Amino acid sequence: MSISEKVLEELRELKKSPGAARKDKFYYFHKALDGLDVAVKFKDIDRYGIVVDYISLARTEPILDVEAINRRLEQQAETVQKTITYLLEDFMLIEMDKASKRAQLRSYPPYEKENSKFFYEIVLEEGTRVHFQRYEYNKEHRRYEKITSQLTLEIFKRLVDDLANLVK
Amino acid sequence: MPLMNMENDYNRFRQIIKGKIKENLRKYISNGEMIGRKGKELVSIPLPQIDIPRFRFGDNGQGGAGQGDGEPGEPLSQGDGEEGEGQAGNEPGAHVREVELTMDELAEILGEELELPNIEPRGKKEIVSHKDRYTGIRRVGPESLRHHKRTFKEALKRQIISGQFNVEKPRIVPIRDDYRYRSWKTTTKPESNAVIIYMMDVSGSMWEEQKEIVRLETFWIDTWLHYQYKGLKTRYIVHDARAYEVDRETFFTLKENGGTVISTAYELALKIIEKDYPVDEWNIYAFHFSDGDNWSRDDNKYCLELLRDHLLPRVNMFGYGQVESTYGSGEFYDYLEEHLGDDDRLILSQIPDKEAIYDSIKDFLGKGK
Repeated sequence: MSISEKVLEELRELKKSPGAARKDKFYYFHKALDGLDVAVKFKDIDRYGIVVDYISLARTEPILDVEAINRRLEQQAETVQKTITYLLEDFMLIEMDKASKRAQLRSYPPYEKENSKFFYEIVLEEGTRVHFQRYEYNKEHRRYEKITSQLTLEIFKRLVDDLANLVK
Repeated sequence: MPLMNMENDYNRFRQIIKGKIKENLRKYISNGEMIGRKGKELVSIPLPQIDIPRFRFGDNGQGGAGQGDGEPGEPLSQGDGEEGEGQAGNEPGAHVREVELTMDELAEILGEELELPNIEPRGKKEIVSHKDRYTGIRRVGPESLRHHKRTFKEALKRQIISGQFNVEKPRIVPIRDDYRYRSWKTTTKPESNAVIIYMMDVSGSMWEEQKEIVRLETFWIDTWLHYQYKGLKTRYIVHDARAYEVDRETFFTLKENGGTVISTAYELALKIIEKDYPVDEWNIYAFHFSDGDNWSRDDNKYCLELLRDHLLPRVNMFGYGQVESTYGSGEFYDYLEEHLGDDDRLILSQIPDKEAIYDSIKDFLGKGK
């Protein structure tokens, strides 16, 4: 069973348990699976798709060598750009901060609709952590807001597997 | 008298030029074309809609007054034109007219159009500059400064008075007493010292478009402050997650892909001020441009501390201009507005696109600081 299938199973279970949704109407899943620390915030899940806010995956075992971390960050950034191509918006490396061992990728170009810009963001940290989130920037309010992504289960599984492979 | 008329015409023409530039200033400000035409003291400005004055001649051989069969008082006609077949030209069109303005004239136009008040230098110690000008004539001096025309004039006067001058055989020989020399006067002029420290975020999210906005805005700020302070000094800092001092060219061309840690630039600016610009002697201006996407909130807090406790007390004004990246505009602007919005030494300005530069310049320079 792949990690994404395990995650899906866990999320469905969580949704079934009474009172699991918090006040903000989101479900928060956080568990160690296959040696990875997995966190998913989602709004809903059914037979076909999921409304997900963020996906976070982290390897618990750290990398100590700074050079190795930065090499790995570069490889991870390249892998994201090559493999995560199924979200209708391709990723581009925006910032690579070797001092704080962090890389930021965003989908390019951002999708623009009326007064807003929408984009996905993947942040890689320390070579061992990855965080996926979608944002909306509203030109009128001049503010970034974290928003949900509506993904089919097939795409969600593929994404979780790809993100897990990055940090394993 | 004709010379006076020519001067009047020339002045009138300069007024027309200035008027045209003023009318289109917003366009010029958001258009980088002018910056490439800047020389040391002059800037050339393309003015497609201006006619350079020139002599106009009438058509020849049209039977003008006194040459034709008409009666006195009969109106002249242009005659019948001949119809012909024309062809589209294949040569390049006429060049756009260009006029040259001094940087001071440009600054004056900017000041008038944007209604910018003159800057009142802070109560700083004034620096006095000395300048020598050759304005007088003396009887003694070094040979290199001998005024030949005046010397011969004196010799001529002496020869005429003493009857030595022969009109038939004019020959002027100056003697020692006739020698005249240029002399100079030293004038002293009080000047206020001023420095601008420009800081720019060159992190991965600041693309060419954003840097172009910064380039245009700094050109106009520079033009105005140079007009207000002669001998203005400029320093340039770029930063991503680290800050460096660079020269002007690097400032506008450098591309990095690091993260954004704004405090690094503020720390370096403070270091430069503390080392080179004592606050009681200098008028200090600092401008920072970024897309406001600072990587951590902790750094926002640290920036606030640096600004409030160290930078703002030392500067005449601190301008923060937030440009909009492809993805939008970060929260740094709002953070500063929330915490330091009441401090009139800090001026905040949003510059979402080139069109907004005009208003942003007004934001920064409109308070006469």
